Amino acid sequence: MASGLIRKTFLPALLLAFLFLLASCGDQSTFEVKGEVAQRQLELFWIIFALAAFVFVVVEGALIYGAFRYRRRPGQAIPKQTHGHTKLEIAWTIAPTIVLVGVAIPTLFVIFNTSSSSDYDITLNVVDEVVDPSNEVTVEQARFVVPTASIGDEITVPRMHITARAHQWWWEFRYSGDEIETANELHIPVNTRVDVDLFSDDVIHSFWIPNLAGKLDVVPTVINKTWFMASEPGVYEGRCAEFCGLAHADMKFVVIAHEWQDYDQWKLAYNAPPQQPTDDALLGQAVFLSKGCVLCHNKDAPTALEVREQQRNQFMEGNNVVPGPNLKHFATRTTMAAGIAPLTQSNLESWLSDPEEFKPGNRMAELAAVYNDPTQTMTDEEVKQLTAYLLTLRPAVETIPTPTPDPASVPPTPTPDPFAPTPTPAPSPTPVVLPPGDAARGAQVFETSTPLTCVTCHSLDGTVGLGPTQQGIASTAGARIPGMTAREYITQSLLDTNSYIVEGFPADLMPANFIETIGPQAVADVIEYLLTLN
Amino acid sequence: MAQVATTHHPEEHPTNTGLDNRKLAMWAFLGSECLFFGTFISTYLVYRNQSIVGPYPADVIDVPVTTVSTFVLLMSSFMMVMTLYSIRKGDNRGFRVWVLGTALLGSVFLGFQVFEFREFYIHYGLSPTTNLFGTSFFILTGFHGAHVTGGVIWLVSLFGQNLNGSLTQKDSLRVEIAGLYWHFVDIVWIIIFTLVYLLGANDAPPGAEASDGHAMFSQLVSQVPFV
Amino acid sequence: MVTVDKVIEGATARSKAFDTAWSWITTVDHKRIGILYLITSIIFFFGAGIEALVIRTQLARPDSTLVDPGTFNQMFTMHALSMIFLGVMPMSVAFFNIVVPLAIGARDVAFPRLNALSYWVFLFGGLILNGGFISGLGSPDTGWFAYANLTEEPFTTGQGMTFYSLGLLILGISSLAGAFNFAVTIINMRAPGMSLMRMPPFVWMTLVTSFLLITAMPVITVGLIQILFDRTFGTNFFDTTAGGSPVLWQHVFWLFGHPEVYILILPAMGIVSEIIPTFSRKPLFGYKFVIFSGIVIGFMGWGVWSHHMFTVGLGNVANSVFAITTMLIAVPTGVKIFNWMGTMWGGSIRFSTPMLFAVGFVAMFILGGLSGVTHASPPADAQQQDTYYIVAHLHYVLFGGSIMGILAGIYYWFPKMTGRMLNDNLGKLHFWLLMFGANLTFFPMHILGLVGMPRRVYTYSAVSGFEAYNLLQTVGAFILAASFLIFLHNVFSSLKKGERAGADPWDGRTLEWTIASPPPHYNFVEIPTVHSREPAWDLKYGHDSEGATPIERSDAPGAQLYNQAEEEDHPEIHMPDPSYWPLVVAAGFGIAGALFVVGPWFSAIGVVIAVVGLYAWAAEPVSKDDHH
Repeated sequence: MASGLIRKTFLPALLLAFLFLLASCGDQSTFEVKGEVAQRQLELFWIIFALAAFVFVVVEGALIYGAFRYRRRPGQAIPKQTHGHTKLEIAWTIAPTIVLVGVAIPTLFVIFNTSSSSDYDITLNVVDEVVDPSNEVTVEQARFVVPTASIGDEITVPRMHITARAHQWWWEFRYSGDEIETANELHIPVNTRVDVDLFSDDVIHSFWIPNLAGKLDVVPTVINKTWFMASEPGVYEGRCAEFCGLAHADMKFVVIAHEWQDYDQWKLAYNAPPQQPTDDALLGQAVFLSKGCVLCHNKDAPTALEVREQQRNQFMEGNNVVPGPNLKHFATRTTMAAGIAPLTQSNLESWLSDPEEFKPGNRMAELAAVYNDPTQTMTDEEVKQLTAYLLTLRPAVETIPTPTPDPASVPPTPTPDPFAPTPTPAPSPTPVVLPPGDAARGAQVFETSTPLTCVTCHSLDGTVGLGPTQQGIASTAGARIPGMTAREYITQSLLDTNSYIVEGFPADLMPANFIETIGPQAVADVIEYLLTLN
Repeated sequence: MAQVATTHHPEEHPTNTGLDNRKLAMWAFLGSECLFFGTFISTYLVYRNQSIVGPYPADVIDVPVTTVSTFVLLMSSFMMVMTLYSIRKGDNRGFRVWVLGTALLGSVFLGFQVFEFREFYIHYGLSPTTNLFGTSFFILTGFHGAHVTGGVIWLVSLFGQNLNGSLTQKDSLRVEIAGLYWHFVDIVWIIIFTLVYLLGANDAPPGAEASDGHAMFSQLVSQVPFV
Repeated sequence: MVTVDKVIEGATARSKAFDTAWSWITTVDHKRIGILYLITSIIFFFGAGIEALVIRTQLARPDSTLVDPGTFNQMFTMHALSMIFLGVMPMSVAFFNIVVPLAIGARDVAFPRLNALSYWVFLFGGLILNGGFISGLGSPDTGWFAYANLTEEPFTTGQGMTFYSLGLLILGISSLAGAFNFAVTIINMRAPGMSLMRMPPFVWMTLVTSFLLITAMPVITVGLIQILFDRTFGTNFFDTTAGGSPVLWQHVFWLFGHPEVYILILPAMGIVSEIIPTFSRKPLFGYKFVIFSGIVIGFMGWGVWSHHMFTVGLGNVANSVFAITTMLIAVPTGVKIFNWMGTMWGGSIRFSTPMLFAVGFVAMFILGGLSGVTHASPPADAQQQDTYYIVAHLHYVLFGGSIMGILAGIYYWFPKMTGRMLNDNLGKLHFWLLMFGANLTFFPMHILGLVGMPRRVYTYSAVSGFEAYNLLQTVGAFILAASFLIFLHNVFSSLKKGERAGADPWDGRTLEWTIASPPPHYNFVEIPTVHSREPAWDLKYGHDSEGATPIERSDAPGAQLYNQAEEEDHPEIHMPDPSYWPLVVAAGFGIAGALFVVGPWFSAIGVVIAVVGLYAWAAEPVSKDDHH
């Protein structure tokens, strides 16, 4: 009787409770699938779950039934001493095997067709009105991919290729063929198979976007490959799933899926030139350049892979440099500090004034001089200026579309041609009169200047650092630009540090305003010193 | 009063298998050791040809020298057999000669190993920290050497016990157990010698020389001295 | 006068207390060593429980700042390490010690002093593993799986990993010594007539576990040496900049780690296979199949390790193969469960506390096993790996399985160990509170994992939708903790005034129930001769004329044989003398480990102590009247 009670009320109640709990789940649920791979994984899960639930109810039911049915009653005789039953044993060896075959066969299919090596075409039906977004597109949509598409056609989804580089504790995405690098935000078009190569610069991480695809580890020394697809525009949360150290919990990213046409606009906007900083932002730029931010953060993208390699080596050797997220068009991002908080002025200010409080364990708090060297701490004023500067890091023309749930309502907006060459002013010799310099003092400046010593980035012994080595600069400088002497070349390079960029090194990395920061005398001394380095 | 089964020495209690407890325990221990060395050897094989910088095995490994030391260790196994044979016969003098001989050959083997390690380090700059080869080689052969050292100490202890009379003919089982250990350590060396020295001696920088099965076999034949 | 008397009295009392303590310190009696194991491991178990409560309290609310991520990482690492290596494993060993020699009709284990060494090494290993807390230098914080290369410099600094590798190395010595001992004891020291297929199932599972330990421990030993050498001496095993492979560590770790899972569960399965027949008053259904499936699990446990690595990217073929082997291992596990139910079927089940826990074990383990099947499938696992779903699964099998089985064993054999019963009502209260708390803690984890909460995160944001589940779990965890306070109270009060247990309080079926509780130190006055799988049952019950329905034997020797409440003097029985050399050797290992933290070469001091201890041990006769 009691067992009947349990069967009739308890189990359905449990199931109801389970379904209710599922219904109340958050955005990163693996049940909220929005793409092909996660869809297949979820379908497989439901098959196994159904089998497991069936076995659970039968076996657990039998256990409870047996426990009640055969409980000892007063005065009961000793039961018959049975020792076993071979046919039963065979039966309950074979029965679970059959159930497991039912699990194994779909498993093998899904292993192969969700793996990176699966190469079947995913097709979409072109229809008048979209009912099932994972299978259907409107004719307007379809024409972005196949210009001749008409209702009733089947179109094959396009493919794109990205590499994801995991760092402690943030994500870097590079879009092959597009010279695009973003940090912690991955923009993709919908209904496009996105093939991902996974790299790690330090330890093992795991790449996971619950709504779109199950995880795959990011292992140093190995390039793992995976793919995923989003069937609807939207913002999907991704994160590192493999424990990777102190800030593992705060190593997230977002995937922003755009309609095809919106994605093209996003790319155009990405390539647009940045706004020019003014007022506070201009002062903030000075903070950015003088406080050593540039050692780890590039504000142009993509960051040369050599630079990443050098930054990583610097870290491994115990120096205060580590690969940091590039800040190109930083202000257009929706999140900050590896996807853990919305990008707002107040969040950014608290992050910059105390990053350890904001995201415990992060490398910026651990390594950056401004947070560790009391002589270099930023004032509140400077934090505000730096924040203002970072918030101006956006394209001069705002063109980034926001993903909307209704794709048809976004008409393509005309944009200025971002590929038109922006006139960059040719470097002209700046008329600055320098006092006579002294090589000995210059050597001292080179090795002790604040906030950063020259030698931090420019070695004297030929090793490649963040900047080119100065070994033998006195002899090589003269040969760099035809018609320029070594003295002219070095002087110009110091007065306007972006004048001549040695191949393989990034622009904008070197602080720009030496005349203001260290003064004309020191600049002249360094020039004399460098000219002694034969 | 009837003498019930109350013998107090587990080792004298007739065991279910007829094997002495200590001997069975030694076999269990050696089974464990198989997995121990198996894991180190697997590590060596996984990291074969994976070093990024030199020196590589082809630069440092001297097969003829190690062949001699391998021969010495093999001979020590022979002496171990004679050791056990003598103690079983009750030949204490013979036992002392053979057990010291075994320990001596073991020490000679260790001497070769010290010489080899020194050579690698001083002449070629190969240390456990140099590259993957150095790491996996030194730690594998080093732990084997530590086992040989333990064996030598054990044998010398048996010699001492025989001198003071606490090891006699009826204790031959203790010698047999030491022998099991000694032969096992020997067999492990045969495997290491085959994999690390005979098959791996020509391992060069990645890409420099592909080592396929046939090439390895011919190298093996060509490197066995006296052939 | 009064004061002098008091002083003398005090001195005698002290020396008596000292004698008692000394007799425990130098004991080589398997029953006492078992009790030492049990007490020590319960203390470590409670430590690990407190770590769990810290974790749960931190996660009760979103964006909590109770502990910082560094502390949190230490907590979940030490929780796992302590539960596995200092809780479940030594508790199982405690039962090996207490039960196995009695159940096979032996006077002691094969190597009593080695047995003492195992215990002391375990104690020192446990202290070193907890050395980070004791010394304040910081505990390991990279997870119990310690994935390279996160464990290498410069990603992990400090001494945490030193405590990790040294602690586990030393605990490995203890496990190995114990495993050799029990394998030899079971193979060689069974009473006359007790063939392998007449051994009680718990003894069989002890044997399988011992073989798993013998083969699995050296694998992790090598891995620990590699990680220790990398960190201390600068070798390159897992240094990716030198070409080292972090995946190699994962293979080494899980090649040990999966057999380890069966090391944790098989003893509990053995305990349950003893309890269910006793309380159902029926023999174990399908004995041969239960034993054989245990052996098969032991073998197959070696072929499934990569299912911990489905998301590492080993390739479709590797994932498919390991998916299939993993699914197959569910078959022998299922066979065991069906046979337990077959034992209960048609029985006359008495639900005393041990039986409640045993049935609770089966009920919880079914769920743990089935959730295991859902991540035996790599694509489904891709969404479950490293989420709370896995945490749910492993707690259903390790808490619902191992711990429940061990608690069943404690309630079952407590009378045999102490001569007193544990209070059955308190036991039942413990059981129901524990079942409620455990399911409230661990069941919501399934859902939490599937809705996307990863493991090993020190906090989660308020908008994630994880709040409600986490709060439920925390409430459950505290209920669980409360149930253990009842257990503690039960143990202490029953030790003092618990009902006296006779030799055979449960109507037992195996040899240990034919001798007094607690047994005399020589166990059996006369080594019994065994004629069946259930010698104790046969002494009490015979068959009617048809040979099927059992009846009580009129000639049952019961009372006369069992009730040797007092230990009699049997001068003809020689038992090994106490020895403190095992403690000295173990202390040598402990000192070597502790000094390694100061500087690797200081360890030599400890090694010298251990070697001196070993020589003295070898020179010491097993017993004084040993004339050899």
